[in-house]
Amino acid sequence: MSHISPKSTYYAIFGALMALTALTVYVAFQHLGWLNFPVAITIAFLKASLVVLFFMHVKYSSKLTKLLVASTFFFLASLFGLTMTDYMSRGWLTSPRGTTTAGMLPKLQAAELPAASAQALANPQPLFEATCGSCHSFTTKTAPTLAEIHNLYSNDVEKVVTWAKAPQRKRMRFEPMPSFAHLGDARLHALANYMLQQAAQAPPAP
Amino acid sequence: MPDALAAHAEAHGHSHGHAAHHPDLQHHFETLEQQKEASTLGMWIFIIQEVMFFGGLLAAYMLYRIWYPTAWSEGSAELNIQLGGLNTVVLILSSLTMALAVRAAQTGKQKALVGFLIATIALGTVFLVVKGFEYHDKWVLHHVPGLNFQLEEGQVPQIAIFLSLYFALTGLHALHMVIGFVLMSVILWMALRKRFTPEWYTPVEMAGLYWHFVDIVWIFLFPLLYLVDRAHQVQ
Repeated sequence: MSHISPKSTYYAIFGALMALTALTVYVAFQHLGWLNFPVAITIAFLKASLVVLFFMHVKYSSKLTKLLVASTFFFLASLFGLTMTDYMSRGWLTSPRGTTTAGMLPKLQAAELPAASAQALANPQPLFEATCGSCHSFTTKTAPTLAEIHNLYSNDVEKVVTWAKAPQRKRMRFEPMPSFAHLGDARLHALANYMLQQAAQAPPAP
Repeated sequence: MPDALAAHAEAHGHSHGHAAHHPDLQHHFETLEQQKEASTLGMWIFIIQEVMFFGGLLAAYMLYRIWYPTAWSEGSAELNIQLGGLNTVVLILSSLTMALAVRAAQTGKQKALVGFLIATIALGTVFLVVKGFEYHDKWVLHHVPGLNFQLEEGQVPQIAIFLSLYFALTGLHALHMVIGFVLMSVILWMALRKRFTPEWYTPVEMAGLYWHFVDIVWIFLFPLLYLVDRAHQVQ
């Protein structure tokens, strides 16, 4: 005959579920940074486990039932794992120049840089294409487009230079941008000016 | 019991050497216990595919949260924690009454079984009514993507993606609640006809598994929709 839990067990589980609900609401308003999300998920899994084990009687079920229930995690992990590895790695191998950003770095550093003089930087297009332009164009899908950059910074050259020297990662769907501080202020200013000029123009017809 | 068995044999029209057995034992099972085990496994397989069904939407949720963190913190701030929290309490309470209903069936307490089933149905109804008020608020605030969505000053446009997922997830959950309501009504009707005994109450237990599963979905939806990224506005 199947196991009959005492009423007190059900009341205790209900109490625990209420306490955990209060806890998850409390924690949601604490500043834990990136930890907020995993903590909330952990509490939800704890609550779900209590329901599965005691309300759904899996604790007292056959080994086959237990195995079946545990397999849910395997299927869920496959669903999330495979989906995320796909989406999170998009753009790794599809830089416009056919290589990854990481792979380009040594090339950029080894490239012969034009002198940092006004004359040498009069036409920054070749330098732009060897650096910023390899990821940022009007149609790029691996980094913010020129139009997007123009929207953000319109005519603020300084901000573009600051960003290029110490880039952050704003959007997880793009690979992090490497720093271009080694180009030096003069070249970066020329590049930023050129980029915003280009960006202000209408994108080429597809 | 012997009377019931005799009546059963009569109804079958085979008093011809057919071994006497419990009226609710199907012929392809050896014992009631084996039959219940098969039902339990079948129910769990159904629940696992339900988990995957909601899992697909939750994968979309995860992905868009990574892509548009600002939309998530602004989006959850638009939802009503009081109503969401109230519904969490109501639903967990209904899980308790459901568990106690199964226990009443196990111990053959007919009155308690009917009472707890009615309580479960009533709490499920309260949940749906509260949900209805929430949806109404969203409609009034023009927060329904595809029907009357209006972006407010300073909000990121992707907040529409968050709200779409909110309606898809809570809508499907509410649909499951409605199905659970129908399911529980059938179980209540059977209970009123005294169909369940401590030997055989499998439908009560299986309906309970379904009800608890729907509760578990909400246990995840509450923090993922109402509480996510509340502590700080992600820039």
